[in-house]
Amino acid sequence: MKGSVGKLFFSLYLFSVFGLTGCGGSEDSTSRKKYSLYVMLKDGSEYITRTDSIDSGETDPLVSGTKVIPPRLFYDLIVRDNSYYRLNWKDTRFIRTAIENNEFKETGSVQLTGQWSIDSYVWRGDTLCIFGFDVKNQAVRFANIATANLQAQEQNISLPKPAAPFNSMSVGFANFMNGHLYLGYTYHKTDLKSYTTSDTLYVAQLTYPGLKVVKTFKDTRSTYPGGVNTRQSHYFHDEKGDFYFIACPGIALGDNPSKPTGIFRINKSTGELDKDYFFNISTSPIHNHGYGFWYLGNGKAIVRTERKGVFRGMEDHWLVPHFDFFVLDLEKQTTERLNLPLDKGTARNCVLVENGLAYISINPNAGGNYVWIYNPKTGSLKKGLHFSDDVDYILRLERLNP
Amino acid sequence: MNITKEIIEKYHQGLCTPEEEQAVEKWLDDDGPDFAPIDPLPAGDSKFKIQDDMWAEISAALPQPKPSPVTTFFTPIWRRVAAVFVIGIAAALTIFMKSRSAHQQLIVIKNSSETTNRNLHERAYSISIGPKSNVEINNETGEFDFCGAVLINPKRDIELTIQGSCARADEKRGKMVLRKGQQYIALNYGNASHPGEVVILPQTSITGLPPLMQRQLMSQFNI
Repeated sequence: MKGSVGKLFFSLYLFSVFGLTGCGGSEDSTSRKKYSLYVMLKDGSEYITRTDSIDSGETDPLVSGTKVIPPRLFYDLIVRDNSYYRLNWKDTRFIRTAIENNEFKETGSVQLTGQWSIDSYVWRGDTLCIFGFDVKNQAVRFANIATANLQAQEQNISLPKPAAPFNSMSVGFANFMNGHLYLGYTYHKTDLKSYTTSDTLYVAQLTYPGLKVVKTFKDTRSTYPGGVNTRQSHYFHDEKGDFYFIACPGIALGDNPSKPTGIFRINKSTGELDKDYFFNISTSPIHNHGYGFWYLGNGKAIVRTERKGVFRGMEDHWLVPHFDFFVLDLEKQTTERLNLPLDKGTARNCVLVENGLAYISINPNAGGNYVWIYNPKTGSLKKGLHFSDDVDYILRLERLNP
Repeated sequence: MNITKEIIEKYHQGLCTPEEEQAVEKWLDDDGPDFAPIDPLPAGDSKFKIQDDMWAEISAALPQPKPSPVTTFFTPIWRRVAAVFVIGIAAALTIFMKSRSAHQQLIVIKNSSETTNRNLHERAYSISIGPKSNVEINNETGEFDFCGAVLINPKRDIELTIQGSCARADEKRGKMVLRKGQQYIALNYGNASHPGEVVILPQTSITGLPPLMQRQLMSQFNI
């Protein structure tokens, strides 16, 4: 008995040594950091810095960060369990990367078919489901990727193709609910120097895994449902399982700005797009278009919105600090501005909600770059982690390891 | 026998009879005072005729002079014609180059292709003109008019006044410094609410465009 207990402990020890470190690279689990912060410095170079705490302290990416090579991956990443995943749009290779020995290194890849990039992704356990539109082949692509071995299953989805005057489309959200897959989509008219979006948004309810369309909801209260959620969040479930998404016709997403920015709901109880629910952000006291949308819990959410008059148009949208953050009560449809400096960067993965607190990274041009900590219960707002002055943009803030 | 000019000539030509030959030789040997003078040269024009005739006779006996190599080269007529052409072209080129240094300040390029870019490499910058786009650049004044989508790659810091020639009339812009090492996209960006906006984006700001626009531009200009 004593011997068998000893063997059991020995086998558990072996499992912990080899089993846990086997697939993730050379770092053991104790050295894995909790958070990943992707920054761009004033000279345009890009670094990922990892840390266990964002509540306070100081970080200098030049000292503690890892240079991102190739650069400009910040809008493409999906981060989970110490790995960074992306679909390389130039050759449609799905790539897994990790930081090992202070190097941003590819640790595996799988070739997908067609020529597309990710519009939306959603996790089903350890399986990553990615969706996008292949303009060249005019096909809605779907791939199911098991991240453990990078095996991919691919399929095209039969959503109606763009018809004149539209020549492209976006799958702005993907969501599993009640055993169905819901896809939000819309159509675009574009060439190299012009772009706009249809004034109608669509939500398709599909069987899964068959991917047959069961029902399509059509809505003109706003357009461009969701967004590209590798850039920032645009949808979530609340505690009841109801699904909320923001529709973004502003110039940085739909570019059909005469339509209002608004929030829609798919009710879990009915599985239908709620005809009676619409939170019009543009006619609320915010009076502006918005894009990023994060869930705080208890029926409250954060929305990141433009401020008219502070920026000129598309040319300075990325450069000029003009973004406000508002807390929304989704049921009462009230808004409350967070007293933060105006923030810059068209889209940023800048809000992380943990243990009832919201960590919000803000990069104004003056006053310093911080992770701010908002407590929705008390309404308090304080400064946390501070970034060195050579940081220009904090492009991503996310959980890297559990 | 009276020795005459004719008999002396006959003697030199070997046509004399033995009597005449003997008489001429006796005359040549005789230095006596009874020498009969040769008739004087006729006066007037005929004197020149005789000179010419004599020179003709002498030159006929001389070896033929070798013509100069230059003369030989141009002997076939087509070579002379070619020479005239060569000189003509050289002169035209000189004039053209001179006038070009004045006109080269203005560069006009129209890319009518539906899919491919057209590239231009200048000393201070290189540009890639997107499909169905055109540029008119005055290198002297730094005026850069364009319509469509153009990628600008400065080789040194340059100051340009960029105008969208197909933009709205109120889209007037001042001078702008483009930095070496950065790439810029100049775009006549159009949408329903704000048609013909002139947008000049440094490479990092391209990420601010709607995702579909960004991907199209990055793919077209291989950024």
